[in-house]
Amino acid sequence: MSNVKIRLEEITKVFVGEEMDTHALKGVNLSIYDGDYISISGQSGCGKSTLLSILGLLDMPTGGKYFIEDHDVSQLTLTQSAEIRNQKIGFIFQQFNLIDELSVFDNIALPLNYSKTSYSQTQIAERVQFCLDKVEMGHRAKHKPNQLSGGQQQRIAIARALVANPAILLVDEPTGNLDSKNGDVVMEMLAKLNEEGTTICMVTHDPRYATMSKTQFHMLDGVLLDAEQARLAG
Amino acid sequence: MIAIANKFRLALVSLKHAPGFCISVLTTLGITIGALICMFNLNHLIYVKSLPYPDHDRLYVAQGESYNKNEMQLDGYHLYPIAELLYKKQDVFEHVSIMHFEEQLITSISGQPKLNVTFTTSGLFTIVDAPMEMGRPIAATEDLDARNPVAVISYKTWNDYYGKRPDILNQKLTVGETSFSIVGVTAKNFSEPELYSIGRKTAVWLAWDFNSIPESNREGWQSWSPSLLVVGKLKKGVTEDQANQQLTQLTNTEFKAQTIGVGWLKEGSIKVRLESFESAIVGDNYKTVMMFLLGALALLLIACANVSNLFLSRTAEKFREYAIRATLGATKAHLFKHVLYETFVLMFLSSMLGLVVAHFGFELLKTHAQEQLPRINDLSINFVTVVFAFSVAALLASFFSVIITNMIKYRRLNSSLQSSGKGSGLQISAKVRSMLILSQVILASLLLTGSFNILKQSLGVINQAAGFETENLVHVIMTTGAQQTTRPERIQMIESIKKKVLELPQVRDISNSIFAPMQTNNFVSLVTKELSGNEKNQANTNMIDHQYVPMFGLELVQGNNFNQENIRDSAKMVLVNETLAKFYAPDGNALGMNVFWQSQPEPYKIVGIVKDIYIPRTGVTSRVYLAGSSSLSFVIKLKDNHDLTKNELIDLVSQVNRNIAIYSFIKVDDAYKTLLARDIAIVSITAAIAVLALFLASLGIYGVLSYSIKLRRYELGVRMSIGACPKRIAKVVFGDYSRPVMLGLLLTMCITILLYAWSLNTDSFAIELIPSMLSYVLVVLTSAIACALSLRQIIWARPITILRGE
Repeated sequence: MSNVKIRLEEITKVFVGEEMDTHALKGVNLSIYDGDYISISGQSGCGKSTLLSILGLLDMPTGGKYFIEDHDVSQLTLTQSAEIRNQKIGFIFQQFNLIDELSVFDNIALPLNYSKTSYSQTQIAERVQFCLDKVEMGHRAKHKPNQLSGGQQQRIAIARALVANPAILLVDEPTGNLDSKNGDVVMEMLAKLNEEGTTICMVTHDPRYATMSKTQFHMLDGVLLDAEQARLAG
Repeated sequence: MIAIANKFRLALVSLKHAPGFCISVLTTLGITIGALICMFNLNHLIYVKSLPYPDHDRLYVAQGESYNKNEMQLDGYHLYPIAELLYKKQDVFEHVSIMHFEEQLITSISGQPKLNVTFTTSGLFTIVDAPMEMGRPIAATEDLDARNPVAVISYKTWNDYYGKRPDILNQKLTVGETSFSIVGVTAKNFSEPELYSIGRKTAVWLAWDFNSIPESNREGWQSWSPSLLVVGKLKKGVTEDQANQQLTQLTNTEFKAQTIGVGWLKEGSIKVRLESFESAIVGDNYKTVMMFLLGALALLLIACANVSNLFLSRTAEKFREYAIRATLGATKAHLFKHVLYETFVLMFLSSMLGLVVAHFGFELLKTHAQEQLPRINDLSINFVTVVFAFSVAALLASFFSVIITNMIKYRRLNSSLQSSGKGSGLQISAKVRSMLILSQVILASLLLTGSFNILKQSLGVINQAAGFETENLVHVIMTTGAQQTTRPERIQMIESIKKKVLELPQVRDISNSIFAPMQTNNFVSLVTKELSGNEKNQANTNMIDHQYVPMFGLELVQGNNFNQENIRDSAKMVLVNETLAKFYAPDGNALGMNVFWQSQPEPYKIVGIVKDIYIPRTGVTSRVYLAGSSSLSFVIKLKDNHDLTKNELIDLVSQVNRNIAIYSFIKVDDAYKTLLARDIAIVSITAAIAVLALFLASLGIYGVLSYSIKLRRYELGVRMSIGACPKRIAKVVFGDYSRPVMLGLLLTMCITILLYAWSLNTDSFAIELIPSMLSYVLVVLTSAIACALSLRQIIWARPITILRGE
């Protein structure tokens, strides 16, 4: 068996409200291995985005344990979380989340600028160009995000997620803002990356794209179900 | 109508959901509109509103001017015979009046208060159409040479000293040895023209014939007085120039005729210049009140910049609502109206608050600036004020609505919902954000630089060393009332009073001298280098004894003080100050030189030179001190931490002579502080403006940075999600915002340098380095704090809350 990249043990997340508390995650257990490509699907409000936020250290769980490459990351400070995000995690958002004022090149170079490892300008340029070529956007380095189509912006977001060689790519509804043609292109790109060895965890509500992953999970009212459990649950 | 009311109701409901925003806007604009209303009213009163007298545009003061050759010697001074000549022989006024302003002890009133008394002819009451509470004004039959002792008292005097007794008419009022019959009380609403000095209110008007000008001065042609005034209502059809010409010819012909053979007046002449009541009352305050208005406008400008940022911030928050409205068919005009209702409600409420602030501002001005600013008692909330306040509200509402509607960018609004997810909502470029910060920093730092410089200048006046001691000193003028005394009798009386006063345990010393140093302009005389010489100097003149110099701590820079023998013999010798010494010997030593008075052939020898002293708002003037005095004026030096009351002194001097009364009892320190009153008022107003400016500047800078950071919230969230730690985010934000802040300061410095270069050529205002630097430091600190406070909410939050916009 491959090495475990990520392990969740009994992860819970409760949102405290004025009138009632919402239990978004109810004891989630999950292991993601090196080279895995998993998808998590489910209806709106089932907790899949909350789970992805916790996986990406954008949010902290209320309970349970979270390990990345056997390091407990359940209770980190903001600064420590930022460092781990920078070194280990690559994010791809539904809304692309590119910074409008920066060029494509500068957007992709951002994670390297935030890294504790010091990169020379040449190294940054080489690395950015490599990633741009990988997503077939090498000719758009000097453009601003608003000069690109949605599909192109998402490809830039993928390049940015890859630039720091993360342990895992966390992908949140990557085709949510794209037409089917551009959606297909992005999904093919993710599949290709996984074939090359990149570990991917994707949240999607589209069953067609969920089937492109190696392992499918289903989220139901805060509980994570594997394919068999999901089938039994109807 | 119902639809409009409904729109306003909806606007109010919408605003109720943003209490923080509403409070910030209302506070910022309420205070600044209030300040603007105050200053607008003051300027309206002074520049626009007519004086409350009939035919006010024909009311003039006939100012006297004295010339030697063509050089003006005195301005605003009259000779007694000239004043009476104008009254009797002029042919340009419909009504004319002469007045003499005095302070007199009213001995018929318990406590013998010293009140402002105006000796006048009947014309004054006709000219200003004085309304009467009861009785009548002084009648024409009681004018010159009628010798009819009648008095008119003010409503305040009637209230304060007579308890509004209804039988006041025909009661007696005693001044000196004359008993006056009260013939009238002016009405409560009578606004007396403050022609002599700002804030001076007459308590009692007395018939002209009984004024206290000595007989010798009434007939003399060398005693000029600033407290003599001739006023009149110009005849219809007579121009100011014609009147000036006629009155000058009338008076100068008489002057020349009466001064034939007076050597030093052989090239002298006089002129009469008409000055309108408006100009005479306002004096040199036109510029001051305009500066206050400009200051208030600058405050409103900075407040508008602040509020614009708050509106931009709110628009950013409401962008989605506007987008939905647009998709439902709202045109640009619909959105403008929607925004206008909301801004109008806010501006209307701000103006209402402004009127309340202005009401309290008027009361503050009436309490603290009555003697510094003209017509202050006429300030009130009136129709013009309300119209002005609501016009400002309407203007600001339109202004903010236009800004907001332009910012919404209608075309982009339509497409924003279709492309949901692309970009970060309201698109305001980094350039616009930087411009907002830049303009805010320039406005704030310029306002602070100006305020701090004015503050420092006024503090400089207050803190300027006087050059003489003021503490533990009392200046006293006594009078023997009706009792006439010869010079030897007075000298005997002076010695007895000195001896008695020195017996008091709290008294350290006593000096028989006429004036305290800060009482300038009370006695000015023309001195020359040679007998009947042409080189003249107008010097403040005092008669002192040998105790005066050490008592006031005046520094002798050359020569000697008078000794007891000099005083006893009234020796023909003088002390002069450094300024006058320079007049006598510009490059050399004035000691031993002779001082001549124009009317006296005997010289006075300079035996000592004392250091110049500084009097607030007067500065340094020539001063000459003669040896010996025979007047009942004293300066009493008290021991530390001891006091002397007027009653103690009255009891004491009555043992010397029962007729002696205390005419004036002034603590020198209090009198000196009174001279500083205007500067203290300016410091207070400026300090208030500076504090308000700092508050607004801080609020503005915080507002613009907070808004700017709010706009970048999503972007910062993205940076955090890809691994930027809090320190890194802070570094990015501080780095980004330090550029426009520093550029703003750099531009302010350039403007300040230009102002500094300009100020070198003018005496009116000086830009200084330290207050300017202080304002820059404060702006940098405020920016850093504002930035840190705004960032705090972001960098210590989980990235997901930022990305979700929670």
